Amino acid sequence: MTDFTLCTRNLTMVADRTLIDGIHFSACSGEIHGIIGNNGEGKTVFAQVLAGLRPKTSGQIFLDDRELNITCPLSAQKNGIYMLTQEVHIFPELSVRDNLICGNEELIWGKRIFTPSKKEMEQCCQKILDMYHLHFHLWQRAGELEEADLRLLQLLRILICHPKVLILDEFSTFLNYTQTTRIFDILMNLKEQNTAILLITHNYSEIRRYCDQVSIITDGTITANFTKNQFESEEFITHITNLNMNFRYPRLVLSKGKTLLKVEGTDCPLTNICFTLHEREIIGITGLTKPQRKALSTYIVKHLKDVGLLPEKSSDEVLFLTQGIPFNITASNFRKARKKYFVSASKEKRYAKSYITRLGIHNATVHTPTRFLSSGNKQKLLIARSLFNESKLYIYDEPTKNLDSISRLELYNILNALALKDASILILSSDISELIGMCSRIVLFKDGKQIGNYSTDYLSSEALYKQL
Amino acid sequence: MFKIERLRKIKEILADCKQIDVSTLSSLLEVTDATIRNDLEELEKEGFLTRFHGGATLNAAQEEENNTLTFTGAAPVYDKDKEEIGEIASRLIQEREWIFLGPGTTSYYIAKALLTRNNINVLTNNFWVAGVLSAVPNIQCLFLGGHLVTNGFYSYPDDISAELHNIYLDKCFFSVDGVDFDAGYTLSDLSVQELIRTITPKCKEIIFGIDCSKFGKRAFRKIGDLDFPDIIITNDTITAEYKNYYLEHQIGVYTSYNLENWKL
Repeated sequence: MTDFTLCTRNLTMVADRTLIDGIHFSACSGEIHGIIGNNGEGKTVFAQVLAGLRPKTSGQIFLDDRELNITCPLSAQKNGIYMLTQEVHIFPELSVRDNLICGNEELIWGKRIFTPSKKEMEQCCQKILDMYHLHFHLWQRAGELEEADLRLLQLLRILICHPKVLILDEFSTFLNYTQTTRIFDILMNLKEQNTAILLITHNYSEIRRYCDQVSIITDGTITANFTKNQFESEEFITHITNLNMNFRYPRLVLSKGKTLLKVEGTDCPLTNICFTLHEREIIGITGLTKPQRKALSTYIVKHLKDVGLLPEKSSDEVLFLTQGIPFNITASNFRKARKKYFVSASKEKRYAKSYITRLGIHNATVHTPTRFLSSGNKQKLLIARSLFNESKLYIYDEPTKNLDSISRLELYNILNALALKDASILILSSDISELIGMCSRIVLFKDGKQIGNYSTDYLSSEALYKQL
Repeated sequence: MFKIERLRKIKEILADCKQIDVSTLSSLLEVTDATIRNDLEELEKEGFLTRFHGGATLNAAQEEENNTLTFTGAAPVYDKDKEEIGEIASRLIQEREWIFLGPGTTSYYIAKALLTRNNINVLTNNFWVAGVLSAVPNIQCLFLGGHLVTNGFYSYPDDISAELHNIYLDKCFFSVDGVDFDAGYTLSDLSVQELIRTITPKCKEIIFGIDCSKFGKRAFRKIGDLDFPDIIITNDTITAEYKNYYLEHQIGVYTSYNLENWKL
């Protein structure tokens, strides 16, 4: 592939608020360009606009000197821009082959009247598998694959179209070290083929190891840019550490109460696990992959009833999209919303109204259909649901994703209020500064094994990054 | 409803009407009679009330304490918003720290919330604070002398800068009368203003506890711009513009969340 540059000029996107604001950005072919920033600062939105998943409000995107008219994912893909989304999207019922080909026919073979023959399809799939030395059974049902292989399959679906620009959105969050290196091997291979790779990540070590350039996004704009040889410089390190420090976390000195649950033992899928949950305490957990988080939550719920849960899954999966907001909020405890023996619609509505104002769910009333809410509002709706059922323990998995900074602040204050009322809170997050800012203890995992349990009083994020 | 919250409500109600029966309480708090009976039993053990068949009455001693504090006369009128602020403010204070509690009722609630803590040093000129802290030996309280300002229940030294010479503090807590985008923080009491001006340079962190009713109001004279304090403690009902301003200027914002209000 010949050299090229992808750049944006004044790229802006406004939804219910300004999500990204006048971004000037450029990425060159044959480079891995890291994009970092806090949760909710606009990294993902920027990537989604580039990949045509969300429409831009104003600004231009250029490939060399040619302005691209990106309105939908297909128009981006035709220009060679592909995105590996944070969530895994595959057809579980279809075979590996069909998953690779389905929807990509036009991009692989161009416009034609007939669908390609089975032989052609198989050849095409086999070629790409051989190229990266991967062993998939083409006829296996995709739903039977493991989590890490699904990720790989999703990536292959893109690679089969030979992307010019590949955007990866925090793909390594749910993978362990070996699985991540496997994917990075593929990426290095792609880099040699002169592909431009944009890597959105939280992981500091990935940046240092793989990236050639890094851009820092703060509040919807790019505030700094560093090349590889600057990575050791003072300025870069202060930027990285300041990144999360400019948010003042409202942390309280909480005097912990009775022991609520001791998480320990052999019947838990995680090895070496041992920590205790107390009343009036906020504990942070980091370094777990998605299935491990699920296993941990399941384990805790099994031992302790009455848990308020905010799952990590995308909000569309956990919300009742066809039902209204009142139903979705009261779903965690219908008993509270009943009158005599039946759930009372008016009571539900009154609850919903108060949550909508208290949590600042903007542009919404009790009548707004749930599916039309913005992703931030959906997240707030889930928080409202978890709060509705007053529990002893709250497990919050990536609670601040999709939230703007005011809502984050509100959420943190809600957590404080819950803790003051004797509740215990467990935050699972990949954002280490958030954990240091809010929690009294951090339990650190690596490859499914607990490697530390630190008090956050004298802990710096650099020290934790080194451990990971 | 959380139990602690319920107990507090019962106390509140009982302090108001001295005597109440179980069925009234249960309908007020939307819980069953049995729950109320349990709560009353607990409060009886605490010595707060005496139960009788079908109800409870406030203990005489309790009544007395509620109405008079050792040397400050009447306790301030109960204010839920301020009480919540006091609770949060007390959680900002770490052991072995020296803090200053300024004049005003918010400081009274901070002092009340501090009662269960140990190893804290308080400097104050507020009689309410001194009155509350006089009950516990685990908090060291240093009182700033001077002439008495009766309508504010605080003392004011003749030469304040001499009094505070060579004194350095970790945190100071003040309250103001008005917060406004144009006017900044404003106060009507001139001597309190002088006090704030002298003390704040000696503190590592300046903390303002301001309840939501003060936002969007102006008083007589300005103390400083909106970014004057390091930390703001307030109620959750303040508008998003203020929160946004504080976030942008990197001022810590702690808001109380009255989870109970969500129950209708």
